[in-house]
Amino acid sequence: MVPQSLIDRCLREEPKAQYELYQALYGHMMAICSRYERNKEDALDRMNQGFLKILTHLAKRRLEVPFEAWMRRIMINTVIDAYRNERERKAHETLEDPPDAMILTEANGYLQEMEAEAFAELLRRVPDMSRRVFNLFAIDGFTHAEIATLLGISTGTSKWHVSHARQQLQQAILRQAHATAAKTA
Amino acid sequence: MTPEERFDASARKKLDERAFPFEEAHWASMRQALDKGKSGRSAWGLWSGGTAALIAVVAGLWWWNAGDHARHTEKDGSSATTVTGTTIETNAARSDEAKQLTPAREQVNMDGSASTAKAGKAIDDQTDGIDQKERSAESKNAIVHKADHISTSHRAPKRTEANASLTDPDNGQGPATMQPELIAPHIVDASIAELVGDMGTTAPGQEPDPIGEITPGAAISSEDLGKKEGTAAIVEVTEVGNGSTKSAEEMNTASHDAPTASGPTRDQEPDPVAICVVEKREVEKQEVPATAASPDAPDDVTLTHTTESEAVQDLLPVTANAQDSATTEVLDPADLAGLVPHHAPWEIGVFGGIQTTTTRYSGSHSDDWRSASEAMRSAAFGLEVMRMGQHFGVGTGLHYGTYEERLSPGELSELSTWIDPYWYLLPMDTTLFFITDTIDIGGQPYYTGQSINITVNVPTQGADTTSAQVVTREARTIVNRVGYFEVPLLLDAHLVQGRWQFGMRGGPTVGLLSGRRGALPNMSNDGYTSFTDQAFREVMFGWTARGYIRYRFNAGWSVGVEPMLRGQFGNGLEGGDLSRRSSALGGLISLTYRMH
Repeated sequence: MVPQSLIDRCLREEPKAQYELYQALYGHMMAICSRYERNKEDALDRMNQGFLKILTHLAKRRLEVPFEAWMRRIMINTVIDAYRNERERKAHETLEDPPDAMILTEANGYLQEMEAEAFAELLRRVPDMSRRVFNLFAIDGFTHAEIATLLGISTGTSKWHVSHARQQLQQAILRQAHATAAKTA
Repeated sequence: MTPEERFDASARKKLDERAFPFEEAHWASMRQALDKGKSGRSAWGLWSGGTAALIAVVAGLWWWNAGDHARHTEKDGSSATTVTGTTIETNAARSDEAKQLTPAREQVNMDGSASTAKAGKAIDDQTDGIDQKERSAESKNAIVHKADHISTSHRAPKRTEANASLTDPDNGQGPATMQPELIAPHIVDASIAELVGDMGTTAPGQEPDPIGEITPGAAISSEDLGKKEGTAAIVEVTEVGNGSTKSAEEMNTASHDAPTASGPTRDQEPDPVAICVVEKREVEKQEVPATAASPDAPDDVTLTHTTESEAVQDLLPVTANAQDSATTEVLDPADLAGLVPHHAPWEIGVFGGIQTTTTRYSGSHSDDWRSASEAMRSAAFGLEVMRMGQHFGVGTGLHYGTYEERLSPGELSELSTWIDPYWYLLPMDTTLFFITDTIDIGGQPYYTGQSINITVNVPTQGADTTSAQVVTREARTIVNRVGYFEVPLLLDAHLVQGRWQFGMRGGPTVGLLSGRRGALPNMSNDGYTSFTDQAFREVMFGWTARGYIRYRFNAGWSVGVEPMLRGQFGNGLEGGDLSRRSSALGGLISLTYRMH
């Protein structure tokens, strides 16, 4: 919870307050950005861009909106905006049919035993668009309609990307689980 | 809850478990971004404010100059009729003096009315025969006229009336029949009385000068007038107007007496008027003979003084108390002769030189290659037209310049790793015990058997890891060139010291893209996007600023060296978040011609 006094000091552009706010939000911001971006450098860029937006738009924030939710939305919008700007170069990315469905329960079992960082690594390997849609839908709670509006795609495509991401993750989880089992054997 | 929802929840929970310890280095980069944004805002504000202030100052000076010029023009047109000069050394007054240096100007002085043409011609005819001495006397006439400017304006109309009656051919009194008695009182009233009073020629405690007591309408004789050095000039005016040779000779005598009479007749401080007369004669020695040598073409001299400014310029070295003392002190008459007046308004210049351009890229994955951008030299040249004032100017032109940089992005590759699971049989040595028989002893079964060592193959899952390094961008050295034609709004501030001119010039520019060549790294295809495929802004706003030192080597031409700064305000690229901003620092050589 960010105290209002800290926000007020940031509104007065006090450098120390900006530092304290950055420190307070760092974990949340980095968690969001690293989910959407493939590497740490990109995540850091997005986080700093988002924080800059937070500082510059702080005065426009409606007080009835919780600060954390507002910050979260700004960070997600920053990541999505950046992706939209880069979409042209991603146009060659082709949509592949999702592989055959795996047994979700088995994957779920492995997932709960996995290290968080290992799962994050698997998530990074999911293709860009699918990863972003999965993040928006499964992690951040956006609806397919909202995602379609945000990314300029159809709701059907959004659903496909979520499904594709899930199956990619499940496959990867199972592969990793089997590899681990083989090593221990 | 469906299996999919359970998976999503598990994923959410797993991701929430991650922790990101704060890193100071990240804050350092954030701080840099904040400072950059703040300095960018302040720099933009500084530029905007500075530009607005500069424009306001230049506009104010421009307006002031235009108003001053209009006032001078108005005075020139009406000075002979209304004689409204209230300052001693206005340009109009000096211009009037200059006009009276020639016969052609004499008619202006003598007519002094809107109906100058006919009367002027009559006087011109009469004055054709005036010899050089008379011209010298006419030159003195200028001094009287100058003194007239000292008088207050309420006196002036009387003089105007006198002059009008003097030159009006329709009033039954042609110039030849004009009586001095009719003229002198008015003129004395209009000029000398004020001159004596205003110039302080009557010392405190002294008896009032008799001239000061002369009233309009009262007759005054030439003898009376001749007693005073100031009156001598007035006699000349009258007599020249009459066209009488005899009077002219008397006038000449009187005029020569005037400066010397000022000493013995007044035991006071030297009369400023007398000083001016002496100085004026020096001018006559230089200029009048040349005019008199060609009496058939008296307008020759006039043509050389077609503008007020030129006349003023000619008078600058001999004007004792000129306002523009800075100019008169610096300029030597010998040097001045070959130079165009420094305030000749229009100036055309060309320049060319070399500039070093710096281009900064940012955004859109430029981190890995933007530091590989090197500045390069390129050519810059242009043409400018300026309207120059004494210290400020404004103008425009057409500039051409190219912004160049050398990019040397390194190789970029992606390492892809695939893990493929597979099954294989893993041989395992083991011992098998085969039961061959069962023996019952006392109700207890016993087994007999045989141990056999054997190797069995156990199915095992393995994983193949396949790695592939794909070069997405090869290393390359590219020279990028983008050319612009720029139309600037130039504001100029300068200082003239003799033949040297020091100044600064600059302002905003509107650039039109004229050509581009090169490529930029990207993240797709072969790793490079040609400039021909890259969207550029066709119109770019920028700025230019130069300092200059110029040397004027003849009448209108000057050469100079000019350090220059120029740049673009915005992103030169269109679309995407890749930004390209260029600036340049260079040196120019200029050749300038001041039109006159």
